[in-house]
Amino acid sequence: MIKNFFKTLIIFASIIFLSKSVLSENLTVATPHDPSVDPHWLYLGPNAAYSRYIFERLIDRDENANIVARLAESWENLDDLTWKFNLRKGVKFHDGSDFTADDVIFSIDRIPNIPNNPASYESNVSMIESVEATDSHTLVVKTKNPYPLLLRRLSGVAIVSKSNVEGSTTEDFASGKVAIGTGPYKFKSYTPGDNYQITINDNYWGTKPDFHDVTFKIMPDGASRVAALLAGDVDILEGLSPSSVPAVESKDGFKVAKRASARTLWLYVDTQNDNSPFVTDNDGNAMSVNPLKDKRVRKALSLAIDRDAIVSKVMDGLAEEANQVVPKGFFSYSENIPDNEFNVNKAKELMAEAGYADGFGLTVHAPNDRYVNDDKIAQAIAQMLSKIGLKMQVETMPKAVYFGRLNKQEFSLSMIGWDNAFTGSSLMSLSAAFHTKEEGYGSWNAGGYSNSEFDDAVERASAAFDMEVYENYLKRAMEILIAEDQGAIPLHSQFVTVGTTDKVDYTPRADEAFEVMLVKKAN
Amino acid sequence: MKKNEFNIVDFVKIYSEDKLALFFLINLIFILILVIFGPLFTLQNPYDLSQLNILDSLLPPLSQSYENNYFFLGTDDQGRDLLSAIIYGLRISLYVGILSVVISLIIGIILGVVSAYFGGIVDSFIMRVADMVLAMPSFLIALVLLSILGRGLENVVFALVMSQWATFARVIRSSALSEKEKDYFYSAKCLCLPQYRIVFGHLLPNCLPPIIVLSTINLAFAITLEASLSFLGVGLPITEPSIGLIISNGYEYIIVGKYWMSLYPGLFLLITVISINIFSDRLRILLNPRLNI
Amino acid sequence: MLFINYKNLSMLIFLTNRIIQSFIVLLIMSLLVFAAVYAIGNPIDVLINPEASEEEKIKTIKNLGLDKSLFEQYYIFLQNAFKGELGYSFVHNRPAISLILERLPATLELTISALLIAIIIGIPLGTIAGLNPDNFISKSILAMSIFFFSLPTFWVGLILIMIFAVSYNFFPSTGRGDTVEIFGFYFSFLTFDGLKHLALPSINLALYPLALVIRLTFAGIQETLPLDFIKFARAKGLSRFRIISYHLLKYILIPIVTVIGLQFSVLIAFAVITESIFAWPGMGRLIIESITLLDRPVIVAYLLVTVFIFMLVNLIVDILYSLLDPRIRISDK
Repeated sequence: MIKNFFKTLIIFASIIFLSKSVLSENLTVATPHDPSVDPHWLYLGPNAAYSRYIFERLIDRDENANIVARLAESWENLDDLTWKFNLRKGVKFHDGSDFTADDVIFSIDRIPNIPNNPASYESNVSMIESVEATDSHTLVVKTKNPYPLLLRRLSGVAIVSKSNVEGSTTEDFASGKVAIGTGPYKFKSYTPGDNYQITINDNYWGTKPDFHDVTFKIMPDGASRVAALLAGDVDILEGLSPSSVPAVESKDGFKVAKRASARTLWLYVDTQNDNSPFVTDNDGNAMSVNPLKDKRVRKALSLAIDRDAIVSKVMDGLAEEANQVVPKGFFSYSENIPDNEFNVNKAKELMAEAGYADGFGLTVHAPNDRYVNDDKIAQAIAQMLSKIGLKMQVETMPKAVYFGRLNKQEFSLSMIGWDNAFTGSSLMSLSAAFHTKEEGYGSWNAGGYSNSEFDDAVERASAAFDMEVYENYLKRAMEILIAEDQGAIPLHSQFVTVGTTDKVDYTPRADEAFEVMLVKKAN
Repeated sequence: MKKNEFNIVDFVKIYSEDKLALFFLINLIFILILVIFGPLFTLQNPYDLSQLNILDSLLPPLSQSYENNYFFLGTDDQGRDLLSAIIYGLRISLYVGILSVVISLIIGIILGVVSAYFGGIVDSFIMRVADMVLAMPSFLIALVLLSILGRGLENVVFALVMSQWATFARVIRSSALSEKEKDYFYSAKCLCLPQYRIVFGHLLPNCLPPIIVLSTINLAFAITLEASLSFLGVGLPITEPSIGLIISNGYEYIIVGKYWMSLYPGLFLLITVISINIFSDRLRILLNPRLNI
Repeated sequence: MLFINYKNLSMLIFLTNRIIQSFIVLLIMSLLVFAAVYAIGNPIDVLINPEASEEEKIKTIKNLGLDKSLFEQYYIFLQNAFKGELGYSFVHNRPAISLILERLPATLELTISALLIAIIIGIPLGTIAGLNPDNFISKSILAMSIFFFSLPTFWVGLILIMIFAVSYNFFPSTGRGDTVEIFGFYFSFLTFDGLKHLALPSINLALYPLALVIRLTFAGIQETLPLDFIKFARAKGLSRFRIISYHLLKYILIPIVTVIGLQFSVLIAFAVITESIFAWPGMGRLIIESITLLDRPVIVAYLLVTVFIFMLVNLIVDILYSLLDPRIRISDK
């Protein structure tokens, strides 16, 4: 009897002891983003970030936006249009099957063919003309035109298992049935809107992450996330608003990981329409002339914005002023563009010179759930611009509605923030947001900016295989855009802030994506 | 037929027998004065962007502004004086509330009386439509309508009216139906008085008690509803913040100890709504002690 | 052997009548809701990849059936609805109905807890006030009920979070606790952690119905106390307690049950606010997200489910009502 008692006690104690040690291998994350388990479904930044755990790419970008090898060990250009990739040998999928070139071909083929996909990853493979497997671990890729950025594009293509996924649907991923990849983690469970759980892949070919099990608690509300962190419900929280940073830092046992992100915010200015949709005269009537077409007016707008106040007051110091469309020190940053100036008087002078001493009516538009404090920034800008005589209005809306209208060029002064880490340079933002709208360019040119010299520089940059030539053309394009034309009004680069307990260390990524593999146990 | 004599002095006397109700009535009158005349005395017009300064943002109560004025209740994240914002916000809330109740009332009276008076298919149809509206919680109706229409004052009033008119229509119809059975109504009909005279001169005044009570209850409800909708971000636009929006903006700062942005506007809203509710409750008791809720 | 008699038959007719009525209302509601919701902007603009080409956009619009006329879309919707499918979420690419059913237990937990709190606290308080309406305690109870009634749900939620989560840390301020699976649905009220998480949100949601129950009970007691059958019971010499707890309460239960039934759908609507503030993963949060993301199928499905629940609850209340009060049993309305 007593022997039994002690036996039970020992078993009980060891269970508790063991489970405790297993528990400390658990990481709980509070995140606002609900994942798509299917890595080819719904191309949004956060979904792409989630796919890294279970699936891998041939090549990926590390936390500093540099290219690193993953499933492809090495590669070379055979000519301007042809690339050869040597795939890593001995890699297995979570179900034990081998990773081969066929899986890559299948994945690339699958991407544009998913039914009903509101946001496809097609843009990452549309430049590919053909893919051939010359043997089970060698791939030859041909592009339609010379495409130096192919590697960057491939960093957005997750590789799935052909044998499992062929014939399956997105729902099969969400249930976990075919959520089988080569990544450091395996799918455990997913409850939409509530939580997503992954567990370690013991047969992973690379460095194992620190944590055995990870639970993502999906919490769209920022303040709730902070409360959860401080209450000890989670170990780490993604998307910490700047205003909450002091609260977290000042509490014992918590800290905040910060990093200047590669995302720069700027304002589009409507320079295309003669009758701009949200520009009116002081009585609210439409004007036949668009004052925003006058460079002096645009310069005045830029001079009137106190970026320092925005950074210190609205962003709580967690942003860096930007005088162009990429952050300072970033690849393709131009030193020739002068720093921002805040000078209300000079702005008023310019306005008077342009004939608008009495100002005019203008509405600034922004999303209210996309960038850090986006709606607050918009309001602050409206405040500042009203001091040079403009009758300002502010309209913010959910990103759902905002980006649709933005792309239809419905606004006069509108905000956007572009992540430059994907290409590691200003190329993507310049070619998509400022190049004249035509095939393959300018799909995000909401301001209607058009300058043929600029277009030329951008085009040359995108065809350049030589890094120096590439950078120089980009710098030139930027100088035309900002210094000469003031075609856009740069604001700042935001910071990515992640709140954690003292028990973990986290290095944020430059592209703002959250990555569990970068979470390490603190000593 | 003689209408009942209504003497306001007598009414106030009877009303004041309940001290609590009297207290809140005075409160309510004070709030109305504050809201009508307040803007003349406030520090700034919080809706005028050129009067705001971001450098003044997030100051706690009783801080000084750059012009040596006091921000009695502090400032919000855009540098708005909270007290001014509350007064302006209450103003809009009351305006929206009263307007939507009046419009719902008019629609309700028209539909309710028509229904009761004409009966038959007209009655069935109107009541069926009203039932369908009542089948859905008013909050959801307003929410979905506003998500379609977008933000703005007219849209909010429209959404509030849509979610309230059915209640008015139903109550007025029942009231009118029971009045129809009464003697004075038959007499009026026998006298061949013109229809509109019967309706407006005799029917309606006797339906007044439940109408008054319902209106005040709905007013409080409409104000709270508007605040909730603004809180969720689908109500009034951000540069004309209503109380709900100010509270919602202040939410993220509670954790950091900057609680005043959410606390004080809520208190003002609460006091306003309590005052209206106590007023309506007292009215209900006075007008018909046997009436249930 | 079927026991058919007048009572059962009239009950059956009554039920069938109600069910048909409810069904028609549901159908008309679905048309209204569908038309209204599908008039909102274009969800493609929400979710489309920045780099997508025009033909890509056109392809997706076609796939999601957004290019068809409103009537065609509604017809397809109806066809699917009869199969039990209420559309596929644009965002999650899963049946809208599964998304809602997954979150339903959480919302039900919250709503039912709130109702329970309202009833358990409200009926005794209302009874106390009703029995001696003139003493100080009763007046305070009534005043308090107006207070609860006037509190804006969202503000109270914030204050509760402020007090309990930030300052005292008693109850967790966000999220749902550990769950236990029953028949494939997850419930959290069976775990201690779950109850801790349930506390604040359900208290928040309970304040409004609590006020209502207090007032209803008060009014009910006031009305029934002077009635004959109570006087008769007293004359029979029954103890005060028994009179109150059995005879009185059973009688006033009727209107209370009715109103609670009506309040149920109102509570589900208000739960939207509570769920947002406390990050409670229920249907309410889903609807807010769906509205933001223009996930139309989910919005339509949600509204229909809410109306359906309301109709169902109404039906149950009607049946209970007729069981409790024999006078109402046969006639409709």
